[in-house]
Amino acid sequence: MKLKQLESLLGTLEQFSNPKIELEQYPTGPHIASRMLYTAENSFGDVTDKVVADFGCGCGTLGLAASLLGAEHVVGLDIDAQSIEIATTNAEDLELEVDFVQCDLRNLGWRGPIVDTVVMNPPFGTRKKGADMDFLFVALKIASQAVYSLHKTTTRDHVKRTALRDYNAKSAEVLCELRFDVPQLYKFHKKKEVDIAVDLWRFVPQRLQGKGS
Amino acid sequence: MVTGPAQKKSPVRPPNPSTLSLPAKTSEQNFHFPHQERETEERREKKKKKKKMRLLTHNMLSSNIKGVTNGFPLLIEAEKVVEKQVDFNPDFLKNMFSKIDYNALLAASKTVGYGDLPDAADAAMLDSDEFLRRFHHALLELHLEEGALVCPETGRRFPVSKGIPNMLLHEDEETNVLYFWAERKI
Repeated sequence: MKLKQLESLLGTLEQFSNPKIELEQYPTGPHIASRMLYTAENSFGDVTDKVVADFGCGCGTLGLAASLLGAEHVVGLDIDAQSIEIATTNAEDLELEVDFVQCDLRNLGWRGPIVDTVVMNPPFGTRKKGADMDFLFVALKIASQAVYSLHKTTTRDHVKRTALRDYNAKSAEVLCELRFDVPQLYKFHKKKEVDIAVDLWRFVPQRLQGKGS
Repeated sequence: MVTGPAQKKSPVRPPNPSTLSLPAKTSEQNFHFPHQERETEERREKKKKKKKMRLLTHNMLSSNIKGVTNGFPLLIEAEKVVEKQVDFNPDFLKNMFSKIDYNALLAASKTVGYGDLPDAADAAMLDSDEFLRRFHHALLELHLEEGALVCPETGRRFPVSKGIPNMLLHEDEETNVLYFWAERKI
């Protein structure tokens, strides 16, 4: 599948109708989502025929992108039942088979090492400090091959240091810097739209299986 | 479905020094929220359609209630099970065989009414097309739609509704997860 085609399919997905600020629900737009998964597959072979987990899947954009690129099994995890409902409808619209689990990622029980790749657009931790790092911590425990994640560019040094030193990542690499347009979703947003600079990261967990770098 | 250009950026924007150095074309241009137009009859019908959970997902979940030492495998209470065919991918199955817990899959498939998996399996059987097809069916084509996953130690039920297991814990069941993860190998 071509990048443009992936992006345009993701553009048809339904997004949050009543976003919840306490969960920092911001939609992952088709531009970022398509590039994230396209890179994961075309540069690293981390998607096709793999088991992919979408952490904090929201409306399912990243997980569905993985499924469109030929992931064999995709699980979307989110704490919010309404988001999962939208995500399941999105999956059906695209005729994709994706499983969803409602859970708090920070205390879900797992038996590994089934998941190859974790993709996520975590809460950036502006409301609940460190939320994105909690997600990353769990992701690096779960994934056997790679973790793709978005973090604010302003936290780059912190993310790198924490991933390598505290979370035992084998590598932590910024693949590119993107702009995340946050539309005016919530009342406290004063501007109509704000750009946030975010980094697209690829982390490799220590417990690497099979090929990879 | 309407895919026209979404909100245009306002022509006059205050310069933001932190983003000036970024390439101009990589930003997210088209946020739109088409759900309002799309709440059609067809869509409401789809929402009623049942969603499902594969036994492969069951094979990676465990109970993480405070005090539980071995929360795997979760027992299955099956009220409704559906089957759905998917493409057969032998390479994926061979790769997956060493990663899944076969006994858990065997027990789960029996619980949902599929008795064709052999009671014991080893890697040598991966050369058998017949075995692979049964393994494929159990792992990817059997779905729990309604029922529950049950913690093997405490009997706590995690309901499965429309194929979505609710693994949320009550406050008094929660462990300090960062500590939990740090201590435990999965």
